[in-house]
Amino acid sequence: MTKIKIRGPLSVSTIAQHRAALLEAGATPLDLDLKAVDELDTAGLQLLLEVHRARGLRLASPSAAVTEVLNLLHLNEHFPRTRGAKTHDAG
Amino acid sequence: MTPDDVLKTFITESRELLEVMETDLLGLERSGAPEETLNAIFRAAHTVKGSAGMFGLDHLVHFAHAVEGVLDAFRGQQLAVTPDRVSLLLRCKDHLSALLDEVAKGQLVPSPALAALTQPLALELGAQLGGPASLNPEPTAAPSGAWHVSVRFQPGVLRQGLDPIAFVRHLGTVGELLGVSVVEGPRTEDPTDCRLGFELALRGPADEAVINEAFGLVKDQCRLWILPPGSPTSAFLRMIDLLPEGPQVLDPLIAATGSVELSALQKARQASAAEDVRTVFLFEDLEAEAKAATATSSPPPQSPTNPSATSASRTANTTEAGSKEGRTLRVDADKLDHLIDLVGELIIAAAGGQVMARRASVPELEEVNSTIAELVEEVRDSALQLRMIKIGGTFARFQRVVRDVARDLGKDIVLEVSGEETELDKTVVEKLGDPLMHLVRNAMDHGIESSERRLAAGKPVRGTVGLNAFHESGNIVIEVKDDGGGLDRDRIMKKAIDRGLIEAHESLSDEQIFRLIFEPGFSTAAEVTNISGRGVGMDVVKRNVEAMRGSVHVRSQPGQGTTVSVRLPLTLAIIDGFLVGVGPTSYVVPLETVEECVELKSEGEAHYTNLRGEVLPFIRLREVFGLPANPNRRESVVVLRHGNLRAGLVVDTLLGEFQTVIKPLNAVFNRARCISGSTILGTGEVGLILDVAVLIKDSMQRAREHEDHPGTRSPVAPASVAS
Repeated sequence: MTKIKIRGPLSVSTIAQHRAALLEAGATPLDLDLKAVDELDTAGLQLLLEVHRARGLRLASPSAAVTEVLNLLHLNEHFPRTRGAKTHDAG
Repeated sequence: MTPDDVLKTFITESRELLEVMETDLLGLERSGAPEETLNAIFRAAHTVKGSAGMFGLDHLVHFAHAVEGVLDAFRGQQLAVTPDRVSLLLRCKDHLSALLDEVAKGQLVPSPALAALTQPLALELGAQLGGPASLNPEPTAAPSGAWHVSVRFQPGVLRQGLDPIAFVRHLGTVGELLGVSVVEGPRTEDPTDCRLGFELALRGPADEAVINEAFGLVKDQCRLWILPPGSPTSAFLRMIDLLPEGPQVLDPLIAATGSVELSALQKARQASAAEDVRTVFLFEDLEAEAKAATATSSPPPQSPTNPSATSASRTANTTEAGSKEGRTLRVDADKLDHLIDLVGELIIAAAGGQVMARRASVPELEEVNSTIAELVEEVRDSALQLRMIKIGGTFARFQRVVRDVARDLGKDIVLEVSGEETELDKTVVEKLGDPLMHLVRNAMDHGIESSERRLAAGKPVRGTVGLNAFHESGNIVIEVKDDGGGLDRDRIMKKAIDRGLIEAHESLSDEQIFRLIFEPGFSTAAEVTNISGRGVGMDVVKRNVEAMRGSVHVRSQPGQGTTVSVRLPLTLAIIDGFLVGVGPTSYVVPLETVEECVELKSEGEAHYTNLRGEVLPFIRLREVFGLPANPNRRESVVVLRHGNLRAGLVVDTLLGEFQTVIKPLNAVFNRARCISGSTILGTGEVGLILDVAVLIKDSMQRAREHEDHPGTRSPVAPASVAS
């Protein structure tokens, strides 16, 4: 299982830089550390859904900004959670 | 649209809504509290709140929410509409405007000064509702069923800085989101395309307008379906048919929101007896589909209220509103100004062409040029017409001013407005606010008497201030009228004599005396109040108006009231000028100041001449601009009148009338007195536009300085003496 950590906003202005890493870092399911994500917008969520569909996604300790969106859209159940130990830092 | 543009739109629209809110609040006091007015006010506050939410302007959202609470209580008749409450709401509206102004300046978090004002106002609002103030929006839960909202966005919305999630978040504040399903569209090339849509079950909002407004900012970039609580399953079927994802995808997602049961959907589809579509189509691009939908659904056989007719008429309504909206365009004022600048250049260029054609004396060329000139003139008129706005908006602002000032003064005064439809150039309107404000305040403070005095004079206790506007021969006239005690002729005389403005033995007409109130430092009010005695006198009004090439007149009838008329050109961009030449240079004198032209018959250095037996003082333009004397030439005098002063202007040549476009002078020439602007003549030369007011005033000044020297006369005499 691949592990990636994202920092800062996951939004329309940043998805381009994360997209390749999330979608092409191997076809195995992904552990995604969203602890340091301070903004998640529609573009970001769309990317998470796409990654989940493509390879399976587990969220490690999502930040408040992420949880707020997931709660709002009743998506909490959609993404499995993980207690991520060590994660690879992707920016 | 960039994110900045969206924010700008929000600010413009919110400002307009707040204006509406103010007008309607003021209307409440006058016309009782009709339901539709209450609804309109509520809607305005609500929309501001909703849009502010889109931008995460929480302070605005929370404050607007508190305001909304009181407005809602008005609507529900739990609270009576009282003048005090209206005052409170007006102050809240001001506060909202102030908060918006900060946002407009790029300050997304309120300044400490404004933030400090929020809490006390919110507490006052809360006190009206009989409870501790709450600055936090609470869902207004209604026991009835849930609305179903389905929304899809255009791919580009994300790139425009709009975040669909934010709209859902906002819906969560107008009601309770019972169920949410995220609908994913097919993948596209561009990862910043918006592919997500939402199916939402929402409990709470009273009517669909609230939901519509939640999507107001994105309304032309999304498709929205709203199904009211208790909609039949067939309505969901129809909606699913129109959505791109199809029943396979959507049935379970919609069922997951709890709006409808999956088995019910599938059963109904099998039955497929189309009953009724209560879908509300909001956006024009759906209109065609909507028609198709209504057409294919067979009319319900036994329904008593014929729901398909309802649906059709709703569609018709929105279509009508939509096309009406389409007839008005919101255009950036800067673009319009640029267009008018270009038209100005065009006029100058066309005039140049005409001069050339005349020189070449080719008849065909002249003919073509004169056609061009005619067209250019039409283009100019239409372009200027675009910038014309009705004065009603400016007048409407004064309802509030009159109300507040009347309260401060403890007088009962109403504002009567007429001629709101009169149009004038936007640039004039912008400069008109201050002088009008002063005139209205002045009329209320000094014009209208106290209630006791009005009663004693047998007049109604309630005083009236009137604002009127009309067009008159290429000018707009704005009248500020009061039904007060009128100007006190004797007191003005006495004061003018005290101030040395007139001689004790001078006999002056009423009009000449009344005109004295516009002299600097003149105030007849026995005591200075904080309403109009702010050191800004009527002289400033006059100066401002004259700076716009306008004039002020006053009429007054003792015991009946006073009327001040402000006459202004319809536009500041064009001037009817009279072209004169001194040496090689051309000057433009505003035509309205020119009385007549005569030949100069005086000799030597005298500064006056004999005009039909009367003394006419004159100014030599050569001397004003320090040009060398030219003794060989015959000189002419242009007789100028400005206000009650008359003077001659000595020039070399008279070149005739000339309509021209005013080019403002560069800031470098700010200190060049006597010149108010410049223009380009048809020959390509620059013509300077003379500022007649300053010209005459300066000459008076110079005359006063030379008073010690015998033999020097004032170059300017009051017209009353000269005529």
